[in-house]
Amino acid sequence: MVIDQSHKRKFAVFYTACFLVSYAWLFFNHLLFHQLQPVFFLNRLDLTLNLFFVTGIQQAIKNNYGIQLLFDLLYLLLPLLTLGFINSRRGGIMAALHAVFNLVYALLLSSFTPLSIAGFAGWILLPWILVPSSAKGFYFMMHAMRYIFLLFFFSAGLWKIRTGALFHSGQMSAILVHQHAVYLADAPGNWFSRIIQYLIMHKNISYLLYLLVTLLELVFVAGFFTKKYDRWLAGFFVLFVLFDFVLMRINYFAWVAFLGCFWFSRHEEPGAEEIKT
Amino acid sequence: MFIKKLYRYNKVLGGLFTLYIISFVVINYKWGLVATPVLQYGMYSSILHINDTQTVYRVEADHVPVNNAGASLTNRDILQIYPDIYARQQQINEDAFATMKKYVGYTGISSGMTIDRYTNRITDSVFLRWYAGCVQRTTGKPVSHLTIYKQDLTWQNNRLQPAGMAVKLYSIGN
Repeated sequence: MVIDQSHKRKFAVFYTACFLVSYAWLFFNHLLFHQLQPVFFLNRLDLTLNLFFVTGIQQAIKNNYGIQLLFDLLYLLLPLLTLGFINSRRGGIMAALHAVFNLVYALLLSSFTPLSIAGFAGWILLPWILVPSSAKGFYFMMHAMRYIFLLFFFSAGLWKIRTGALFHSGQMSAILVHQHAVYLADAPGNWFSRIIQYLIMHKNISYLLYLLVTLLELVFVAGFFTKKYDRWLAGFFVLFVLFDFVLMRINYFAWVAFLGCFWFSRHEEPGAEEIKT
Repeated sequence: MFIKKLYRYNKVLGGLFTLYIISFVVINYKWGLVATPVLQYGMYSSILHINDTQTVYRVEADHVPVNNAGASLTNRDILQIYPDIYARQQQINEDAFATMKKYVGYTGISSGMTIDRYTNRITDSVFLRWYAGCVQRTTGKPVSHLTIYKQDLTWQNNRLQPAGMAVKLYSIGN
């Protein structure tokens, strides 16, 4: 089947649904600017963040409740407007605005909260898929994002080889101690603590998990050469998200929106079928 | 090849995509500086050791210890991470400012890069009053007295054990 405007609309609906779940998570965890009303920010070695800091926007957010509320409202409204204007002449402009605003919002929120900027990658990159008005443009943007996502995962696997962590048999036990220190200290008899303690004490079993996750990350390299296994890669990614949430208590749900790229990748490029025949 | 097809479709798009991939490779090769949306995804690739010292923060609200294990994932992170980053924020921000000034300078807009924009003017009491609000959201009870202790732990004899005495960091209230 050839990609058309209906696929773009379906992608936009899926993206928006994921975004709203993510927004609800921020809301119920009291992490929106106007709820948190932060009192200090943290800089980091990020060129983009430091360029935004030149404007002094971080000080304005810290000191002004009205700006905090405005940012939170725009963060919610822009994806809805993007969906509303999809396949219309203003759709591309809305999507671009949404992407740029998400970049600003994510940079600032991650400098005021413990949230990692990496968790916002989907909201910064994926709206660009909705910018082109043609189905062909949608096809190319979607595939570009698909390659970028493959790169994220494959590079995470490569990093474990480069640093030598993959060859350190105590790595996963040490990660579990580090990740769950406060939980293990406060509730050592709890069922979850007992599972974690078991894994920490049985280094071979925990290392096996680390090895499997690294292999899973490296397997994403297949996506650079073929789209045949995209459903499998999507499945592996869902496993990764579940594993991270259950065992590590890390929330990677925001990346689920990238799965849209793997779902629609089986469809052909508009115009390509004419060339073939 | 995808890049070739993308470049044929739209030269600007092809160029931007190639630039992103090259930037990603460079930034990942030379670990340190990033430029969002070009990031590094290490995902626990730094080597850790089971005997590394772990630091936890123990919070007492009205002389009652706050149960971290009973808090939601986010609240637990907030209770644990904020005392740590607050204590280090001035140093972190000053160090980042000193490093990034050179790189921002390449863009020609470093005249707006003044230290007062890049640092927080905050006192312990302002932070503690704000943090007490976070504790209140976790416990569901108003907090009139708050104490934060820092406790180092190490994994020994198959369990996490205190490594020395807890250090009282901050205290506020009656």
